[in-house]
Amino acid sequence: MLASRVRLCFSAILIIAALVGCSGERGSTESLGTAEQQHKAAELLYKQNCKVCHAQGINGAPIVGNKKMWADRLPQGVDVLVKHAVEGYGLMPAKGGKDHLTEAEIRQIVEYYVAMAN
Amino acid sequence: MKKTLMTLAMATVAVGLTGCGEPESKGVDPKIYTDSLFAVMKADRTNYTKLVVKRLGPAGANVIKPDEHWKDIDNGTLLPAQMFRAGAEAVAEMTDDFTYSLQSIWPINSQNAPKTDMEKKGLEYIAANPGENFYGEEKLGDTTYFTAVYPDVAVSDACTSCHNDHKDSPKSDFQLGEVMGGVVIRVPL
Ligand code: HEC
Ligand code: HEC
Repeated sequence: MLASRVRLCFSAILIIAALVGCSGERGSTESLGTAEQQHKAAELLYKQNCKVCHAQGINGAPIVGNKKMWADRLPQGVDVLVKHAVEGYGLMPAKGGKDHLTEAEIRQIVEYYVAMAN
Repeated sequence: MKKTLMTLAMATVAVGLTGCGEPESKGVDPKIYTDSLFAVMKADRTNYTKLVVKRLGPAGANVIKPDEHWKDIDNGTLLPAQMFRAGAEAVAEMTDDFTYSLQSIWPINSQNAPKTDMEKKGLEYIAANPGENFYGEEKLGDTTYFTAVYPDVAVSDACTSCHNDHKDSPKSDFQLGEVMGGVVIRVPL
């Protein structure tokens, strides 16, 4: 009885949240589309070049989406994280060994990491 | 007082309800078991590389020499892959409950080549899908095993240059960030 009421309340909150979410997004569909595309593109770059270490924590690589592993790294800010990824840092090889990647591409992936850790 | 009792009773009911519908506990899922074992192996291997080899080896204080033929050198120490194998061998002396090994489809030491079809399939899968693990079941003799394969990655130029230049290596074009082999963990079901 109590549990079902709690559940009801919870669903109500979810519905309200969803409704609020909808109305908030409506004004900016266009920019949302590109943001989503950018996220997809970054995810693909990640899979092709970085996933081999960052999905598993190989050699201590912070796992993408693992908030605990990123907590102490995020405060450095995106610029420093990008610099570390480009130049190498501790056991992180420069550009993950993928020399063909541009700094802009690395930045795209790092921004994706940061989004996944928040 | 009465109110506290009521609240307590309601809380108990609520807890009881949440408990409902959960499956009965049936022991540890083999995937969680092998994933946990791998987490420990990975942490130990990383720490050996980072805290011992890198710190005390030629790239650091230069007081130890990691070398394949470490036994022949006064301050010689095991390569990370050999250290890993030493662990696997020590475990094999203690128990048959699980076995593990570091293997590759391109091994320097032919003893590290896959021996079963499932091992080969797993090593091929993790090489083709960087960052992913492989899980399967295989029957060997009368026993069915859960076999998990986890990627071992070229994390530095040291990995690639040593393997590429090694006379016994069947592959000479490993690249940084590539899957070089895998850790095979096998548990009887
Ligand atoms: C060969 C394995 C490997 C690959 C491939 C790899 N990384 Fe890393 N990465 C690491 C390790 C290990 C660390 C942890 C370094 C440390 O703290 O010593 C790390 C840390 C990082 C960090 C955090 C740095 C900091 O300041 O805390 C970023 C950002 C990063 N990697 C980005 C990337 C990007 C982008 C790619 C793909 C282009 C990539 N990595 C590919 C192993 C890898
Ligand atoms: C100085 C040379 C050297 C370095 C550096 C080195 N290895 Fe090896 N590796 C070997 C030798 C020799 C073996 C065979 C060990 C044995 O007898 O089991 C081996 C074995 C392996 C195996 C098992 C399959 C096989 O080839 O027999 C894998 C996988 C492996 N190494 C990966 C790595 C990775 C990843 C790194 C970097 C972190 C690395 N190795 C660094 C020499 C090296």
